Amino acid sequence: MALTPETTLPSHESLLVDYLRRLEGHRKGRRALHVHVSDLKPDNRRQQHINVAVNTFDPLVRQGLGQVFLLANSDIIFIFQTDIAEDVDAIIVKLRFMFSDDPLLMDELDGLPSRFFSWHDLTVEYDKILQMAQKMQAEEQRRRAREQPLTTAMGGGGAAGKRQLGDPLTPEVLGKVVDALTRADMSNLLRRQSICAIVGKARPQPMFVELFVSIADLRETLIPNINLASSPWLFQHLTETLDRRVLSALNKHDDRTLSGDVSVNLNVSTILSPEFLKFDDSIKAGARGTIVLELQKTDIFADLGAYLFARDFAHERGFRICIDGLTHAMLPFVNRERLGADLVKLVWDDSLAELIKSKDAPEAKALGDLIRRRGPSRTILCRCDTDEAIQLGQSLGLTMFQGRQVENILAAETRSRTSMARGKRR
Amino acid sequence: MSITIQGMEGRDQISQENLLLDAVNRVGRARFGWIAVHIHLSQLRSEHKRDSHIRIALRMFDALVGTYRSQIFLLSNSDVMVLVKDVRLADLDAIVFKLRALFSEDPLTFDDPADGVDRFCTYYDLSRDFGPFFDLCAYLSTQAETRSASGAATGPLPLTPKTLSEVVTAVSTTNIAPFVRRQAVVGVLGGAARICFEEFFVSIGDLRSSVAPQYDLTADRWLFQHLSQTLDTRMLAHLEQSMRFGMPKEISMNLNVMTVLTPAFQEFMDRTKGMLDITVEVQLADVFADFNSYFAARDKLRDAGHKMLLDGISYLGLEFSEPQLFEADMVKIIWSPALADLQKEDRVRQIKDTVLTVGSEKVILARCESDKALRWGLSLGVGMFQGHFVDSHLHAGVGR
Repeated sequence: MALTPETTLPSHESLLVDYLRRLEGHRKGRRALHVHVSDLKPDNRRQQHINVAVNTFDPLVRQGLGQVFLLANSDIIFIFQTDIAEDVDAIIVKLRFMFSDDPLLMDELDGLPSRFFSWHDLTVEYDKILQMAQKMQAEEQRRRAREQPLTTAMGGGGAAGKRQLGDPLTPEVLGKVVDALTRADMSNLLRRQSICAIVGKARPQPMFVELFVSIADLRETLIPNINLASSPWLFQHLTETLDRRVLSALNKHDDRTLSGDVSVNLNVSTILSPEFLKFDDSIKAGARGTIVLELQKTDIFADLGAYLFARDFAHERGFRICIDGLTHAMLPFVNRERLGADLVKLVWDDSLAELIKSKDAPEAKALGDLIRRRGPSRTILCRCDTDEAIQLGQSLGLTMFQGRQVENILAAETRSRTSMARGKRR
Repeated sequence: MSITIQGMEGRDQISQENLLLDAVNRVGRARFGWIAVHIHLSQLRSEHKRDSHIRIALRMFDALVGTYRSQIFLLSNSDVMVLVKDVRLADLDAIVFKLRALFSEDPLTFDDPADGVDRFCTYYDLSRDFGPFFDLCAYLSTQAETRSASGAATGPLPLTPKTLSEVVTAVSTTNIAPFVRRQAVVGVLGGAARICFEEFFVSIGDLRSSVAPQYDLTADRWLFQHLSQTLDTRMLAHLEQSMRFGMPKEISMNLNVMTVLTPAFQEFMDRTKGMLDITVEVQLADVFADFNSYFAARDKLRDAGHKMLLDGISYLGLEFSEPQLFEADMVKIIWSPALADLQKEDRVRQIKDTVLTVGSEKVILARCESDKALRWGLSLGVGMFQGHFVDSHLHAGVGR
């Protein structure tokens, strides 16, 4: 049995279902290889055999050419695009060799159809595979429910919620999550949100797009029952792994993502890592000036020396630095200008709303003065989920905004432009 | 005329120094137009000499390598050697300038007006100085061999999430008494020096040697922070036990901000009430991780009649943050020679202002290892001192 009952980690069955769903519009040219490890003799499918088998897919996974899933029954599912069929054949040769003394593989010698491998063309068999995956997911959930009643009672159901319950993030769990992240296809988890200039009632002008990993989605797919807030230090370590995986996903992807006008969240240590140097290499010369690196204040102050070095290097290469996620209370403590950062993100929340509305209070005036001194054009108001956020932000002299409401306005703009265009064609 | 070529015979290892020597030999046959630059990164302070920094420094030469016939060598001592032919000096200077800027926090990059010698890098015009340069390279090569022959022992492994788990378990079941150290904080205001309180801390080095000798506990910052939470618990347990054997009344301990807000800490305060005057020392970096918790912890301590001390303020911390804003009961500045090396007037004035605003009687200069440190602190009006230098004076009879 590959996954032990103690693992509160994440069923690969769920990951598989999720992945298949995302592939719905992209089935053409995709295939699935099912390696029936569970049918091998018990002696031939011990943990070390399984590990080695899964690892043979690593080179392809790391290059973003396919996605591997290790199911609870030890079967391996590898989903890939037809154009790497030869590479997959090479892996099959390796696996055949690895398990050659098992009776299951004797059939192949006799010219009979393989019972160890089965192939599926998703163009034709998508629904069948999805159903199979869903069935396996359901079985896995039931198995876990039997073995760990408490976990299932707390977990399950609505992932959209900001539920902070769950098992604590321990070093063991962190280790497993880091491993899972190393295998995961990050492109599925990347989201985008626009930072726009909004002056008065004018249309929002997109300035750049933030690429980020939705922690909520991460929790849902990889770590459903873990309370990430339970250990801030381990969470920080997790973000380092996340950053590097995002960078490597960006390094592989289409030019569109890397042509500029984007921001990415990074740890200082990631900027100093070889992965970042690769990222730097992959960016077109002219594009660097429009790429923003977003850093957390915790990270900056944890090692100011490293931050300064990373900042100077990033500036030297043409990147801009943004300090992320400051509440209004923190603003006096973190001086963007002194730190030599180009931008800062101020978080919109209820306490900020109240502060601004109490216009005549000394704190409100102090905040306004502070923003003006530090450069309103360098401050982005984020998490704007209402019109009020934008309006009150504007009253503070701010002109750059990000958040669900900004996305809503942009979407509405697009819709009205599209319908106007349609109207004209009549 | 030919030069004796010292080949690679008898050298098993292909080191960068050997490759350099090889290249220099080749250049020697037609040395006109070649320039060598020796960048003395090995002389940087250890905190600036990290692999990541060196890797990035090498990047600065990309432009050179793409434009001119050149070779770059990263020597085993971290020095960088550049050989380049027919280069426009302005282009070379531009790169060296950028490198200097990258490492600008290190005194190595400062100009030394006294003897005019640039300690950061040395240029050689090989058409003139080939001989001495060749000798230098031969010397570096020999040095490198000696270094590698003496054997690089496999260093301790950095912690990973998995191994952290083992170490946490080991520490949580260890009696940390053998690893607990004390150091006095001495006040100098108002005439006679006196002990203000004693700091209790864990010697991580000794703990590591005993409990986890194969691991480098501090290599990964976040994992170490997580481990420190377990250390907090052990320290509190140790202090309570030690009460029975006699302890000073005024003490301080290093804790995570979050630990102060735990029920366990509340119980500790309750059980030691009236017997201990506690100062909790929290790291600046920890405070920045969670402001709200810091203020809550500070107020909680004050309500119980105890104190909050803001620790870990380095000379960079002084430049980029304003400790006085945190309104802690005391503030601890960590001495480093870089503080005395500060040449810029406005930075020195800024630090003086910080000390004044916080209040001399609330500022401690820690890690005073020398007379220089003490004098610097006194010149800035610092009121309390801590460190080996202070300890030795204490034993000489300056006491309560």
